Amino acid sequence: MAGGSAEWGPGREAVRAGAERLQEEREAVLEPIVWGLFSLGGFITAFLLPVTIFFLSLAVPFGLWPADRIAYGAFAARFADPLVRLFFLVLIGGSLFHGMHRLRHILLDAGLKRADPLLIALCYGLAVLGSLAALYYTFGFEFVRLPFL
Amino acid sequence: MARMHPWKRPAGWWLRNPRYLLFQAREVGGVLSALYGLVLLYELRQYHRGEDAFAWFQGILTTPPVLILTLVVFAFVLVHAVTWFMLIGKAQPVALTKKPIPWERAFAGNLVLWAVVSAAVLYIVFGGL
Amino acid sequence: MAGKQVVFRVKRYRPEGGGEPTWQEYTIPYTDDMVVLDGLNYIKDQVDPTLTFRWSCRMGICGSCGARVNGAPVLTCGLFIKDVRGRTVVVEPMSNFPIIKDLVVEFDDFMDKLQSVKPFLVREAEKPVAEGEYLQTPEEVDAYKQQSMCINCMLCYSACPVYGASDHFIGPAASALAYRYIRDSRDEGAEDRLHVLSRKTGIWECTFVGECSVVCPKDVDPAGAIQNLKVLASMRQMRRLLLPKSARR
Repeated sequence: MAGGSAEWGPGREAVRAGAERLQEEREAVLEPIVWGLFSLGGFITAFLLPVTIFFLSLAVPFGLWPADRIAYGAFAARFADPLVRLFFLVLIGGSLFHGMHRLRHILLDAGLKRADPLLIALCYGLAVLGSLAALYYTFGFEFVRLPFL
Repeated sequence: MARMHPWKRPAGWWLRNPRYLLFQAREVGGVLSALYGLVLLYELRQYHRGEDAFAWFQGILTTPPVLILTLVVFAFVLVHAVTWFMLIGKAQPVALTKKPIPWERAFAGNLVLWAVVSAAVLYIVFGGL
Repeated sequence: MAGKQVVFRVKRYRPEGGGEPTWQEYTIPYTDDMVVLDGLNYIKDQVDPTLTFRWSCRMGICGSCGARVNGAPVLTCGLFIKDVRGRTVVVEPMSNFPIIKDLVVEFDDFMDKLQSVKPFLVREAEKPVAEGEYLQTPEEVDAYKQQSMCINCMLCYSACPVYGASDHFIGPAASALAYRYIRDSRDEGAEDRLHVLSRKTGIWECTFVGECSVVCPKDVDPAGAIQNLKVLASMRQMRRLLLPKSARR
């Protein structure tokens, strides 16, 4: 009797199609890839972002560090080191892929399930474009000048 | 006519217990991390435009409203980092040892690693204290 | 008998009436050795025979008596009345499921999902009885033992906010049981199960809230199992993309 008519069981959003149909649905191709990037970005963000925010944006305004340490000259001296540039590239790329994946899931959970194709394009699109821009600002600018960036 | 009562998740579901609240804070922390990533990107752009552009942007970053926003972002980023270290303790897909490490120990190990990495970043990227 | 009393505030729902569930309060005597289930049975025996709820073994192994007590998903046979905070024991049906009557919920959806992950040993060829039993080392047993403790009580589904938003998600217990069989050295059905789990509404809906593992009465840790499955599914996906021919079994 349970599971007979929709009248009796109005609470089910998924069509109660049974185990066979669950077997037939296609596998997700995008999800494992973005999850992998999200995980990698998570490690990068968790380990590297707090100290970066603190020393780049908080230490000087709160008088915990001399202001000349993040002034243009000091920054240029550090930025000459390719390792430092790699650091910024990895940090920007990692935080973008991590955060955009989370944003997409927050919005999906909030109810925008139908808009998923749009969310995928916007969220991961921004992550990709941001990472490419970061690549330009850290290494690419030595090879080509892009006037719009 | 008999019918079941359907289920609908209430809007304030995440206020029902502290772990749900921490979960939401952690998610927001992830998004705010991406926001700061964009700020970093813009800072690099200003750097390429020269000393005046760079100084102008840094000036904006030190105004009180932006500073308060940075503190909020920093708080969420800390929540995100700490919960991340807890999570990789709780889910150990890569078997480093024969038996899974108790998550408290993995968590503590991650905190130590975090301190070490932060010190390394301070010296390698920011030129030390 | 000691004169201690407690108020049980129970959610009632009559399928014949339709409409919204209502609350009903009962004041009953209790002793320190009574669990919430004992309280419900006292009500049904002595006060209100129409109160309807599931239970069976009353010792935390059958998985029948799941309910929401003071906001938390628990087995009513496992929670002592004296340990419930506050003066009132609020009992509701488990969240995230449609209500059939009073504290009884409908979980056909879970049954379908459980079936879809083939929760039994899958082998291409059974070993003939004459060849003896399948042997496993203690390490091989440890690989899946934790997840084998699942009693299908569905408290994890009740705790999962992703499942609460939409029942498309395959859910914690089904995933944990799939993992249990994938990790069993006697099993050869990993490919079939990973196929089901790799759908968009499989493990990829999980955002690792982790509440499922918090409420599990048997310490199955479905959240950890799902994260491990994500790694397995990702690696399988990589193999299929990079080496399509060799990836097929």
